[in-house]
Amino acid sequence: MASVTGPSGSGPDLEALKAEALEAVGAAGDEAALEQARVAYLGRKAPLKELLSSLGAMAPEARREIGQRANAVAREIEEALRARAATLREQASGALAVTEAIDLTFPGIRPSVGHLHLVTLVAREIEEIFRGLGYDVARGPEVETDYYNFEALNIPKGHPARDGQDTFFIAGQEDVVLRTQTSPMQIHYMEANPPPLRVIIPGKVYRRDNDATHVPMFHQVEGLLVDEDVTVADLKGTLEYFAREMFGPERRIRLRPDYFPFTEPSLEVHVSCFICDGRGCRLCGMSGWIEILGSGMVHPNVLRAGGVDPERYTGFAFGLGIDRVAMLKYGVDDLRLFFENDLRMTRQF
Amino acid sequence: MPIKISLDWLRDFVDLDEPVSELADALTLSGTEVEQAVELGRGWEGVVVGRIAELAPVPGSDHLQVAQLDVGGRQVQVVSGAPNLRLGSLVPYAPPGTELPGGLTIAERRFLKVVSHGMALSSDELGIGGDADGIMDLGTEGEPGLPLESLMPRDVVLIVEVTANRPDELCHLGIARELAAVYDRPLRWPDPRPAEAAAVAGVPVEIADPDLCFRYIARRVEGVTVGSSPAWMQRRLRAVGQRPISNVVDAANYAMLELGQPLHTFDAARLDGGILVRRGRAGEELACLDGKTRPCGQDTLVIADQSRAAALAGVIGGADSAVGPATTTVVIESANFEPTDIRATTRRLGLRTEASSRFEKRLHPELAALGAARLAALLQEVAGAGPSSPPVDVYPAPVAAATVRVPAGFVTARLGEAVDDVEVDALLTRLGCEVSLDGTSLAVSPPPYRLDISIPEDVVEEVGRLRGYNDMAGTLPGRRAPVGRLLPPPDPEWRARDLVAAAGYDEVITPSFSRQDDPADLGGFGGARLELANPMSSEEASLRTTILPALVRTLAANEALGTADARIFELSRVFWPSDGALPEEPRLLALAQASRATGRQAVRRALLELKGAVETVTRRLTGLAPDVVTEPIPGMHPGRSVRLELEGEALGVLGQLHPDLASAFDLAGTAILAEVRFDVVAARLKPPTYAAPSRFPAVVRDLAISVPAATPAAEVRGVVLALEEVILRNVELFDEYTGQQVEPGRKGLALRLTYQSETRTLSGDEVAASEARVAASLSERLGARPRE
Repeated sequence: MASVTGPSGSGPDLEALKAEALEAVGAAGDEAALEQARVAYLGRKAPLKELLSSLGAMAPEARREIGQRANAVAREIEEALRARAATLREQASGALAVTEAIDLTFPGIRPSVGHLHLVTLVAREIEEIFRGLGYDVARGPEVETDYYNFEALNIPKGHPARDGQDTFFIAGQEDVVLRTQTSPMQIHYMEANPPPLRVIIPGKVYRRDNDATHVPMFHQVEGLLVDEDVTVADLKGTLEYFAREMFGPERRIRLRPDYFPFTEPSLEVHVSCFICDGRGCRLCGMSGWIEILGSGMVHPNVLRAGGVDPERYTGFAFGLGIDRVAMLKYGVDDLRLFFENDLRMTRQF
Repeated sequence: MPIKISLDWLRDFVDLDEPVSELADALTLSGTEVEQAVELGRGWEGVVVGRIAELAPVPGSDHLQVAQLDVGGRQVQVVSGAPNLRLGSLVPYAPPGTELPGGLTIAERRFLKVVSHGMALSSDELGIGGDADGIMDLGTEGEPGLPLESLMPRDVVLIVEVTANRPDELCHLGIARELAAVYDRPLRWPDPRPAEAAAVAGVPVEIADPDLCFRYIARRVEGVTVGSSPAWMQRRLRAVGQRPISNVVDAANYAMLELGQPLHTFDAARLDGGILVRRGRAGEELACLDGKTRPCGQDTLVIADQSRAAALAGVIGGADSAVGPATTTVVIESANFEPTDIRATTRRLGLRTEASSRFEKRLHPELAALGAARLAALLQEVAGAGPSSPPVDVYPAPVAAATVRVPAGFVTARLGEAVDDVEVDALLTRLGCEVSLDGTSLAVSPPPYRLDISIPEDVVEEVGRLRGYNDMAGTLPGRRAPVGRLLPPPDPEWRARDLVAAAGYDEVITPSFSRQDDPADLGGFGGARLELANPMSSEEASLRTTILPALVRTLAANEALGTADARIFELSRVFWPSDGALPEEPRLLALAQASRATGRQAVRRALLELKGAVETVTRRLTGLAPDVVTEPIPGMHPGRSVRLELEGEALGVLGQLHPDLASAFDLAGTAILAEVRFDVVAARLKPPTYAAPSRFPAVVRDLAISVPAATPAAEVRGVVLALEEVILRNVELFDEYTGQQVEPGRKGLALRLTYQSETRTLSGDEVAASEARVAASLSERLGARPRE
């Protein structure tokens, strides 16, 4: 190592020291070597430090001059150390890209989050829409008496409308059935809640039927609103709102007079086809319209059965098939698939 | 009930020049749904009339027949599987090369080595809907070899779905009336005036049960010659799907399809004296027109002569009294029966006819007079009948005209759109109602055929549907806020489903029906089931009390389809028989997890995962964890199943499916199952409570011990907790091991003790002292030994 004491009279040979230090720094191949160089040239026992600590013994003139020069050299070495350290870090990280590489094009590990059944998802969508309109959500029994399933809904014994709903009867019991519709809950709900009221009732219903569009167990949502001065226009507005929320803001609805014993007037509701926008396609049978639900103004006999005075109150009710809406919305062509529970289908939603 | 309506026939009553699609829309949007408009003749090029000249079974087939068809001067051979081929019948025949309306091109084909040169067609194959199984039977009148259009000229047939409240529309006159009202156009009312002669003796009629038969009109006509009906009548009948039979039968059919009144004809010579409408007698039977003999006891209304039943009232005629080739004098029956009774009879007999399906919807007795007159006139026109006897008309209690009082403003109030009285009056008048202003209300008298209009709401419907609803502006009912809550409280079912799905389980929905091959007892909720009186199949004849069997089947089905790692759940009601009229309907939450690996470690892990999912649901909804009661569960592995309780109440079960059942379900792997009563959870819903977490450092110590192999882990934890170490915040059992590392008869357990104070930083000494107390207590009470 160069001595800081140069040829007599020329003062310490700081230039040589600097050159030597810079070379050592430049040659340091890793952080340890760099640290060695730092200790050697800037450490407590380094010649430069020794020189600086001996300044006190020098003449004031020499002290100032040599002090300034020595500090300048020290700064330069520090700067070189910093630069070299940065270079080494850069080189090391470049090497990490190779030595510690992980292939992130590999597929992500999916957290095992389960899927809700499509019927549940669609039922929730429907519930959300009506909850937003202030409707309560109620549920009720699936085994019902003939009274609630038919009589109270203005379908007395011998009424032809009973034929359209192939009913399961419970063995050994007079007049106990699997409910064929969610409508019996209209009566239960009115009995327990005086008007004004608004409620939807999702649930399972049962009919003796089995093909691609009919299964013995399926799902309906019933809606009921009872208040003073409720009108057909209110029913229309409500269902228009629902159709747009459910099937998109461009949808139009069409009301077709129909007949249900528990409503008067009764209306079947069609929504403009969301595949062809009404031009006609396979889904809508070329008509441009898709039937989505049945509805109407609650028949006075039904209000009476629920303990509501039809002279004072009116209301509307509607019922739609959850499974049917799910089929329409997602293009599922066989209702039975919903109850076969092939998880390869479930996991798509 | 769908009916077929010929456009050509409708034009007898109302002028209709609109395009068919427009007519169909107009009907549909006023409440009479046109399901389809079928153009007869469209795509029938090449289809000709053939007569079945020979018929023989195809050797080696149980249903195929080979027919030789006369197609005008030559015979062709066709093979058909249709059940209704009759020798001598005319059928539509398509030679090879014909392109059918559905796009199918007919080719020569072989069936069991027998060549079929073309096809005999069903109405479905001709594109006019209807029965796809049977060949279209065109009757016997016609010229083989001529185009099909010679028997069925071009026309449009509307297939109309008539709602149950509008039996008046189950005929051409009814649909014409509806169109006339929709288009505000005059209707040509039928006014049949048969020749009548007082000299022709009538038939005495007596109604013994006026509560079941409201009216009975009999007309007697002589000089009838039974033969085939004229071509115009046959064409119209064929167009609407009827097979011509004979002029008398066809005329009765025609009059019914035209006016909606079911009609019957008796051979007067085969009646013993006058008509008696009475209930059947014990043991009485009737050989019916369709060849079947049916009982007609006390519960069945019959039309009888003086000695025996001659018809099942309103349903079907008897064979003995039926008009036949030799008939010369005919008794026309035009009657009206009580609908509920007709419906009960058809259900009891399992027989539904054109007549019964009209009567059971309630027809007005007034219609009977029009029907009787029309049929008499038709028989004079097409069957050579002489003058009719004056009608013998028994109508004990004529139905009074109804008047519906509609308060002023009612229609506007219900529709939500202003409709003035003048418009209401005009619309109702178009429908045949008489309207007058009665003080402040409207008095509306509907025409007799509209028995369905009986309350003011019905009038609203009539006005609404004729105006159309589609230009009406929709509004939202919102003048009043709903009473009570604006939004319903959170639904525990929603939260439970979300939690279980988040834990990695896919939701399934399986049928509520229990299956015959379900294990007699699986899980905690097997037992007596509610049976169905009329199941769809004996396989699914009862309602389930537990969801587990369906979940295991779902696992097996998915395993077979390649999804062997299924984790599924269902939250549904089940049905537990009770002492009351209705069953209990508890909601059960069932979970199932398939495990391909059946080794102890894999199964243990799966069991604990499933248990963790159940715990998550109860903890998050109620703040409580279920307690485990070790006890073998039916249908489950005896060493790997437990009962669950929540605050001492029975909650459910958890365990591995019994290995014997796994193979019974065709499951290659095994299944881990749990089923809990969701109502027990939902009854304890509790919002979370907050406790400020400690701000001082935690000290974590792991403790490895060995204990006798039979020691339950819960007991180990219990011993530690029993010490009530104030600074011990949590005790977690995180590993269990057996085998070589542990002495025989013992098992290793790893505990993680977390120490933390709410008020200060703990010293190493106090943690060590507590740890020592824990180890000592475990050693003393459970024989635990420390492990390195």
